[in-house]
Amino acid sequence: MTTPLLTVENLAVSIKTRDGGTVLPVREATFSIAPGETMALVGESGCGKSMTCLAISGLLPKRGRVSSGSAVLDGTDLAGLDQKAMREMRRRKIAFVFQDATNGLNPVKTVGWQIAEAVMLREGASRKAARERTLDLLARVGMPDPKARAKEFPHQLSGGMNQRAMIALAVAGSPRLLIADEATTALDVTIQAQILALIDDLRREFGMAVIFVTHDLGLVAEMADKVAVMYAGRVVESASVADLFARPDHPYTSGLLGSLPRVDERRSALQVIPGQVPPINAMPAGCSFAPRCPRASEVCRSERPLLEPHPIEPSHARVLACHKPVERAVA
Amino acid sequence: MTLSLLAQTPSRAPEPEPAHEAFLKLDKVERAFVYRRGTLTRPAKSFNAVDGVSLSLRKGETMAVVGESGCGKSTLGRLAAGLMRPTGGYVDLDGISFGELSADGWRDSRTQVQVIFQDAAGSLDPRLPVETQVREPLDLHNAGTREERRRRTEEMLMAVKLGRHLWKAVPGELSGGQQQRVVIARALILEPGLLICDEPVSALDVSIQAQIISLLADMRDRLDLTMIFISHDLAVVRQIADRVAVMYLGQIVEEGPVERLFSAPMHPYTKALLAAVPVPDPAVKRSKQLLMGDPPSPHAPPAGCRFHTRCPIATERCGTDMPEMRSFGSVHVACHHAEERS
Repeated sequence: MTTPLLTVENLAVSIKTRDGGTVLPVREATFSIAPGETMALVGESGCGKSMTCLAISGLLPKRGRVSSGSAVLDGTDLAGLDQKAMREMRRRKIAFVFQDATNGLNPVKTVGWQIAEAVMLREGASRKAARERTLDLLARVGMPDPKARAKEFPHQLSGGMNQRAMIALAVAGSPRLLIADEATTALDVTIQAQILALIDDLRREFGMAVIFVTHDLGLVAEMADKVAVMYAGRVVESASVADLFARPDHPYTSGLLGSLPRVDERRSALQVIPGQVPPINAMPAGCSFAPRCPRASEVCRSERPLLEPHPIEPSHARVLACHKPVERAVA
Repeated sequence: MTLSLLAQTPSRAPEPEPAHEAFLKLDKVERAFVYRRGTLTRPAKSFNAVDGVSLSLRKGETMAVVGESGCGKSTLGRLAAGLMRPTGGYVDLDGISFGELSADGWRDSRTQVQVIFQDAAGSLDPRLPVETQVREPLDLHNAGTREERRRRTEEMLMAVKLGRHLWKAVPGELSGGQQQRVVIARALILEPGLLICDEPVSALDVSIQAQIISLLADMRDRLDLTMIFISHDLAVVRQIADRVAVMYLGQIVEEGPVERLFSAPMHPYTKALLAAVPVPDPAVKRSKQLLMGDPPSPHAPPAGCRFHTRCPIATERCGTDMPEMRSFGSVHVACHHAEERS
């Protein structure tokens, strides 16, 4: 096994609310990712997947902070860095692609100007060299007619083209880690397929690690090597993509997969997970999933399960936090 | 009139015979929008968001309309609901032609047609308790006595499985899934014949999405609803539709029974669309044929076949002749090269 590029351990994020209280959108995020690897962080809205990534890149909102745990990138604990050092980290190693590229870009600067700025900052290039590198990057991300597009403003481009520009901006300076937070969610499927293929090409070319933050399990299955499932601020299961989809151990993962409509077959009935995620300020004492879980027992309601290797078939590549994992069919 | 909502769901009829009369019929429907107003010296510019669409649905049938953003699927839904008048062609619902209705007649037609949108919170009154909102259509149309209206509202709220403790709540106190249940209850309380769903589950998380899809399918079967289900999500469509119409730049390029269309798509656009959807199974590895580029602007659609600029099998003829809709058994396709692929 190669040394991981990023190791996140028991990361928790707290946010001050306006009425003086605090909430914990992330309670226990634990995962690691090796150089060149693709990981997916999946879960439903409000599960803390985006907050986890914002914490890693030091982009938490003003009221938020990492309250415990660590995120070690290349030997540096990101949680302990001040603003300036974090900025340097983002300049050299971490890049972010957001869902809404049209709003993520500056509306009053041309696309070319924005990419050139990133190139100058990250690669220390001269203005002239940056201009050339910009066209090169735009061509690399498959932008049609890069020379003309570079002179245009974000509102003149389509959503897909803006996302390409955003990716060009992100990969300037060859980051070690690219975080794509719902980067293709707002795009049409045919455009999504283009952008995913592009990110995968760039990953191979630059040897970047990629974290896909997504709620789309289809995307996970096609793109990722491994996957961490989050529920109510915690990673509840983490495994290789092949293992997780073939044999989900956590009842939540299993329910999620069962409730998924598929384009390649019509299911006789979609499995339904009853109820909904508990509110962030009223988490149950034991396992957060217990109130919705078909397998929950007494111990689940009183004692919080830890993220550990499977009790029956322990393997360090596969961990879950559950007292009553889904029984595996005997092979 | 009693709602037998709480009764057992009848099993669905397998396949209605094709000769059956249409419940909803759209004939060469067009809808133009002006995108640059004219001046004294400059004529106005307009384009057809929906351009010559013909569809017909039998009673109880669910037709999905799929396509990418800007293809005109939502406009088509509004036309079918009578919320918008076509600038060409006609829409006919069970003998009612929306274009010829008086103001009163149009109002009465609302008991026959209801619409559900993606944004449930935006469709509800933020200050009114949900029970009152669900009852409101009955009040507006003077259906039955006060007591009957109250009872039907209760039955409907139970049918959509909204917990009794939430009936007096205002929408802001409900989750997205619960809000969509209220919207569904309000749309169905008048027992309409036609329900138009415009991206009803797109804003919901998967686990909640599955709940709402099951609810919609269940209500459709109980009330014998005819449904137009507009969605960009092909996986959801496969789960709920009887037939599917694929739209591209304002036109239908392929239409047919759901299983046939998904297992053996004939139009190259349908193929590309299906191939682009990720499948949640790492064991399935498919050869992907990526479409190049963005869809052209609907303001200036390409000549000939509108898909030819992105089509992998386009020939010279596709750039000049607009393909006619042709039938291959139960499937209708507008492509010059359809038979080579059947």
